[in-house]
Amino acid sequence: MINQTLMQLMALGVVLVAVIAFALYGMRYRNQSPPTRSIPVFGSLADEVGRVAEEGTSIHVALGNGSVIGEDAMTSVAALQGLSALLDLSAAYDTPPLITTSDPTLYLLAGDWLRRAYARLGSVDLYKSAAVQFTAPSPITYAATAATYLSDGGISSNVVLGAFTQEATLLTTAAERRGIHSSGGTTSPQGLGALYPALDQEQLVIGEDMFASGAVVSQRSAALASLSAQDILRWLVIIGIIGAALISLIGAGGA
Amino acid sequence: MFKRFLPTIVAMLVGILVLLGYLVPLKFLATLRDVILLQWAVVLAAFALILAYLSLLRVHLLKLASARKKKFTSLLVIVSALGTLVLVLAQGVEGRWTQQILSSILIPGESALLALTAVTLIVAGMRLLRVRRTAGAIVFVVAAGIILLTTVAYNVYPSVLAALRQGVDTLATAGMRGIVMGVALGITLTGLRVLLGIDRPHSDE
Repeated sequence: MINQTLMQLMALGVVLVAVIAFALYGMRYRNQSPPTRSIPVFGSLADEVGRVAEEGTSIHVALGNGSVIGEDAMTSVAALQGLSALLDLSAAYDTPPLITTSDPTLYLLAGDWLRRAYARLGSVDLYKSAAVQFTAPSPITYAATAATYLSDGGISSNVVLGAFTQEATLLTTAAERRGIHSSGGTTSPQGLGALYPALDQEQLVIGEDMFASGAVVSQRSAALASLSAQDILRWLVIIGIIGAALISLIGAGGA
Repeated sequence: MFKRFLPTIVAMLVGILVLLGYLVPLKFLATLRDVILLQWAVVLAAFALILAYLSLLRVHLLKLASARKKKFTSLLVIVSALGTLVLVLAQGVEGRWTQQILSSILIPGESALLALTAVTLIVAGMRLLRVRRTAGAIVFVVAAGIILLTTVAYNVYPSVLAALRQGVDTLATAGMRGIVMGVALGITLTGLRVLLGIDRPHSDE
């Protein structure tokens, strides 16, 4: 049995490999950017802003329940990075999305992101704090409450992006019943099970693609380098899994 | 400049210390993480909850004051939020009426909503087969059907259904682990970008 200390050191090793790969790719991509994977959702989100601005409606963004101080913190950060183009354009058109969340810390962070989008344009006075709403502390009640916002009218696009489990289905079902276009993604298998049947495949972000959002939207070399480092780590994990399976197969791994 | 760099430096320092607390087997790092830094985070989260609560009240008060229809929900939210606050302040979280609200209203209500998600998932699955007949969609619906069948009718043909269920469970577990593994790597790299100050979700880029 692998003891706790060995597990900690192995995890430290993974982090160090990630740092080294990240640094090497960062230097390599300083001058030339690699081709990025295509994730249509992040491109279409910005288009949605133009559409809703023309229609005089709004976008509902459900950010889920990923606390900034919990294990879903990076999922929420990645979701906000994926939404950054949408937030910037919304601020430019002054058609702020209705952002809902069920976590108080994420509520503050999302409000700050939207406020900064307005501040970057020098129009922070146009920012309305009610655009970001904390609806309920429990995920299921949050989804049910946010779903009622879709029936209130004035919303023609529904983005479900962040940390969700099966409650996401309440949001997509409510949107579908009212003919509202939905897109989004999540990282948990339960959430993906709920989103997969409801969203078109091109409108769904599955698992680790969520963390490519920063690179896809910003095209910054650091974000692109982290994607490449992620690919290296993935191959190392695959090699590790195959190695462990082979060792187990020949019976060299012990009980 | 101070406003820009201070949050980044604090976030980097605290993040690296917490990470080292998990990865380096030194007791004082674990103590620093659990006793000081995470406690501070909990206190900050409590303040965030107060702000979120006030925002909830404000939003629904504004809805009540506006000329729009459907004000009943907002009224209900405000009465519930204030009523629960008064009860908890008067009796504490373990108080009789507080517990009564929890066990008689909140838990049954949330259970009902959870049951509703099962129904909406089935409806979504049926719709999927109608509008999107791709290989992935068919696999999804067949797997969901097998899980339903083996759950409901297990006692009728236990040996056949157990083998079928095991096959689907093995494939589903492999897929789930693949997703979770990819997500873990994504979290690691996104976290590293924040810890190294490359991404600054808490301040302007």
